[in-house]
Amino acid sequence: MPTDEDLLAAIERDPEGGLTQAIDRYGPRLMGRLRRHAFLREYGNADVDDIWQQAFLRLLDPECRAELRAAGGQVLPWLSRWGYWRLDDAAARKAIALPENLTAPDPTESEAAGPPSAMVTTLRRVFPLLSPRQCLILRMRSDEGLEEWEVAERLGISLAAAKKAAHDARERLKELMIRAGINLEDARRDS
Amino acid sequence: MMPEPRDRFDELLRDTFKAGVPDPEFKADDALPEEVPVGLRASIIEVARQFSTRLLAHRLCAAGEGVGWGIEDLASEASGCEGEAKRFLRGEGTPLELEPGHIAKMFFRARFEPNQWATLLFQAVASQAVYSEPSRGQIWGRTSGLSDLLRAERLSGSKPQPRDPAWAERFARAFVDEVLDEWKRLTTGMS
Repeated sequence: MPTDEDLLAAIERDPEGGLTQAIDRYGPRLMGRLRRHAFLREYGNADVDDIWQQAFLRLLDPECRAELRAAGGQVLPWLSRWGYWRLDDAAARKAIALPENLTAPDPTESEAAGPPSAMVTTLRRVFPLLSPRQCLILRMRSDEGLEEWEVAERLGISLAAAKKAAHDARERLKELMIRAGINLEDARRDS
Repeated sequence: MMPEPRDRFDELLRDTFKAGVPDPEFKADDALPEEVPVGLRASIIEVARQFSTRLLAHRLCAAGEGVGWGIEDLASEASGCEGEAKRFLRGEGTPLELEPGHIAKMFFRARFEPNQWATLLFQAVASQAVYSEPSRGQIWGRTSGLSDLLRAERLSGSKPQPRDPAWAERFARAFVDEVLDEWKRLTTGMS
């Protein structure tokens, strides 16, 4: 049985053949997971086939393969996380109610706590709404303490691209915090 | 050692990670496999054949735009093959319709570096370097201005089998090497 790294290497040698192997191995399981996620969140199945296809096509992008390896190298969890996020994102764009964990916190809580704890709590709640790539980049920067050039190296992208990706991830996170009712002025000193 | 935080939001991010940001758990991970529709499977393989070319073209155009070169400008670098170059840049054609020197010139003008294009170009060629067997003595299309390998194939009427991954890999590696040689000549001012 080929390992996931073998599958990625096969895609690098022979994109069509390698992709076919990946689909043979994980296609039905990813389909089951995406349909289940869409069912549990009451999205309907309209986007599932498209997102299933887009998820597998990402394996053809060298930058995505670098991201997959940086995230641990396991193909099915990586495809699934991205697929779930895309289903959530597609639903949000169609203005279907967002998951319950994005409801705004009690405003008195955020004011009274003068923030850190309320902010930290909210940040933990909205963090999963970032794309898996954005989560990974923020983890690398703020949890592992990697410099931007190290993030670029791990993801196989240029330094400029890594800077932009980190900036975009922070901005998206701020946007989600504001949507969740947090006043970010409290968190700003010089940003 | 963790770099100094840039601002309060950075600090907040670090506090959050210090407090722990668990990976979200998804109930859908326990889903049973489900059959992938036959049409979807066929469709993804069809899309995959063009995918690397589209991605390569998209990134080349983005790099070109960054330095003020639009599609028309880049295509004009492929003198005699401008139409094919435009098709390629729009992600509709194939790099195989162009001379390696033309491709190298477009990369050079767009300041598109080999670490950004080599893998994608390999994939694009390996995905598309499949053609039907020509009948004996027949020469397909023009034989001038082609890569050495493609010209040899056309003149000899040799017969690579459709979906011969080993042949496609060899062919694509040789094609990328030719483009790289041309690109190096341009960057060292030897042309």
